[in-house]
Amino acid sequence: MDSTELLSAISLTYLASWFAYVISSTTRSLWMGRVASLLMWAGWVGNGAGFFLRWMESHQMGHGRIPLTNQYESMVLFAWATASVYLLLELRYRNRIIGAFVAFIPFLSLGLGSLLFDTTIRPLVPALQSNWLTAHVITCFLGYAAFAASFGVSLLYMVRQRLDPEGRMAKVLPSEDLLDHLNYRAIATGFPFLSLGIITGAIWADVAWGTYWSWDPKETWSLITWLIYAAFLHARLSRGWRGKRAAVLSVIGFAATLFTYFGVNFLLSGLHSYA
Amino acid sequence: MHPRKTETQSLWGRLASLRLTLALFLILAGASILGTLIPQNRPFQEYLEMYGSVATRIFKWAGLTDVYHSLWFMGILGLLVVHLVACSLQRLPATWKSLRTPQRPLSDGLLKSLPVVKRLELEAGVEEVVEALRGSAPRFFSRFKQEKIGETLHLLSQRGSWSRMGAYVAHMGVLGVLVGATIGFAFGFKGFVQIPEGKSVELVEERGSGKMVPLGFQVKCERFHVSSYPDGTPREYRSDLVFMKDGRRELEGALRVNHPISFGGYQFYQASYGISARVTFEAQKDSAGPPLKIIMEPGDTSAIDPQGQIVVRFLRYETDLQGRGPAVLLAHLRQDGHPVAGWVFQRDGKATIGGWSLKISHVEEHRWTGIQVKRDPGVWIVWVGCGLIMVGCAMAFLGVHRRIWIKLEPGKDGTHCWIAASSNRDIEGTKRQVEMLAEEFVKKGVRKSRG
Repeated sequence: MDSTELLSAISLTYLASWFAYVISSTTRSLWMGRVASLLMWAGWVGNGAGFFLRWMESHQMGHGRIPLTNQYESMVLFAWATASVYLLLELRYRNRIIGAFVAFIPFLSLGLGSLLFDTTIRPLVPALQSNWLTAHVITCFLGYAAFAASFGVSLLYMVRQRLDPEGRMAKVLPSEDLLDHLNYRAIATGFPFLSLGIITGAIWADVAWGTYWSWDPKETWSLITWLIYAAFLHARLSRGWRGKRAAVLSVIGFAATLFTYFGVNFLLSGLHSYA
Repeated sequence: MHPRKTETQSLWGRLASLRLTLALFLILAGASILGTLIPQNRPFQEYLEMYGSVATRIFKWAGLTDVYHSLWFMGILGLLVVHLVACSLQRLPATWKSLRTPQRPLSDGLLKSLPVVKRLELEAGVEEVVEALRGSAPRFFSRFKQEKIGETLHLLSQRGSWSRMGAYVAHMGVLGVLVGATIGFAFGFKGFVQIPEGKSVELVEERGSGKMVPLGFQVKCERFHVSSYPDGTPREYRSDLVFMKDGRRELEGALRVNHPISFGGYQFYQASYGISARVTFEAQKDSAGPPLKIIMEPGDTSAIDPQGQIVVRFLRYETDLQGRGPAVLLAHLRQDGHPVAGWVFQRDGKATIGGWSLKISHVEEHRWTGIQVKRDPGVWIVWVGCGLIMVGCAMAFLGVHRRIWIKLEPGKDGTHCWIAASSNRDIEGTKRQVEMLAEEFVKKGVRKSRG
């Protein structure tokens, strides 16, 4: 089995895990919840194994390089990073309902990645031969993953607000305060990573092209995303911007994240044509 | 950090308001989006075709074809700088003062304002409780300062107050990035130069203005290499350069992508490459007499007749055009003043210009390397700014400023105990810590049997 086949199988594991999270949170079945967590852990391990297997395969082909250099490989990393951030949340807050709102993201990322994009392992072009590659890509994607988690939490917040507060579901769900707090925590984690991703990207651009900032669409959109989350963090200093407005801002922020990640590559052209 | 009512009345106060912060973020984001939707810095003709003449004129007038360098965009960035300075000047003194003033013992007024308060009744006396705690957790206990007011004992602890400085450090960093970028924009240099293999240059074309700027030394490209992987993907672009001053070879080096070279205050970057040629033409009129030889390179202009009346310009060279071999794009001004251009092929071509027939008799190809040249005196300030942003983020998001007050008041029968706490960020964690502390007090506060 090569890494591509393994990773396709893992995307189904993530799908099964998501189903189990949804079933466990609607039926309140603890047993089903454990199955969901187990599947998520299995997916995380397999996702990581697939990543390292692909790395080894590139070495066997004679041009070893870390698998972070095209759209497909970036989506494998995004799935892995999102699963990692979610599992950390689950370990820390002992709540599986958030899983129903986050676990579909690694499934979609891995599944769409292998369906839509070229999975061939290609060697590195001169522009990508740099030690900054690893630092830049990993910090960006940890940021993206934390924003994905904040997006899931914000969705849950909006759902919870629509529910009858005395109803059965509302009692199982985490409190609005906790969800608001988690939203903040996820963004306060993602923001420094995105900042570091932009900064390492700027240093790399300065080394490769001689300009640390050239208003390339990818750069510009990462700045737009950064500005939206910066607005979120500053808005929290005033009381009125917690809760619903914070959730809405978080969803807008994630939309900008997705556009930075995908939209720029397919709709706008620029220097950043790798992933 | 909350803006107070009195602050928002003055202009200075308004410049430091949270509302302006959010407005600036959203305006900058909106302007940036605009700049990615409208293609930037394209030729005028392209805008006319895309948007029509009215919209193009509006776009040009509003600077929308070069948003990020337009006056209004710079103005917003300038306002951001003023805003950052105003915020820091207005809030830093208060924050600094609150960090420097020692924690006051718990008063009734303070008690009401604190977010976490726990009240306990202990059986044991004050001294007994304190001794028991000191015995079981001396390290934790050493964090607390003791203060005795009358019979009442106050235990005070404050940690992580430095995390409140994080925001100021990060904001200094943003200022640094903007200042460094401005210095680079005002005093830096960006240029591009093509060096044919084996040749040297001392002038570089400045980007934007197109001015030829002397470097003060010569750069020679001895060789240019391209290598590929077995599947055809390019592996390396490399220019073997020699930097010379007054005829002396001062520095030799291989310039590769991601491996710039510094010399004489400039940085050099491998950017592109191409093939050019020195082409020998033969011109003849009516097949009479010996042909006239003309040697040209791309960009050259030359006459093809002895009288110097028929002038052509060498626009471009292609090493293999449409599979028909080497070809040259020539332009010529007709007698009616109309410019014409056409390809001349080496293999089968003969062009007729003004009664003269022109053919290519010899082609000498050479490769050229394209090198980006820059000088940026502000870049180190940008990197210091970036470093401060990250340090500030780490301080603000990893650190927690947490204060704990414990008040032990001797009662008629045992001790009245209050545990209170405040924190700038992690209220949940602070609550947990107070609960644990309360449990410990309840355990240690049990009256020991007195013999």
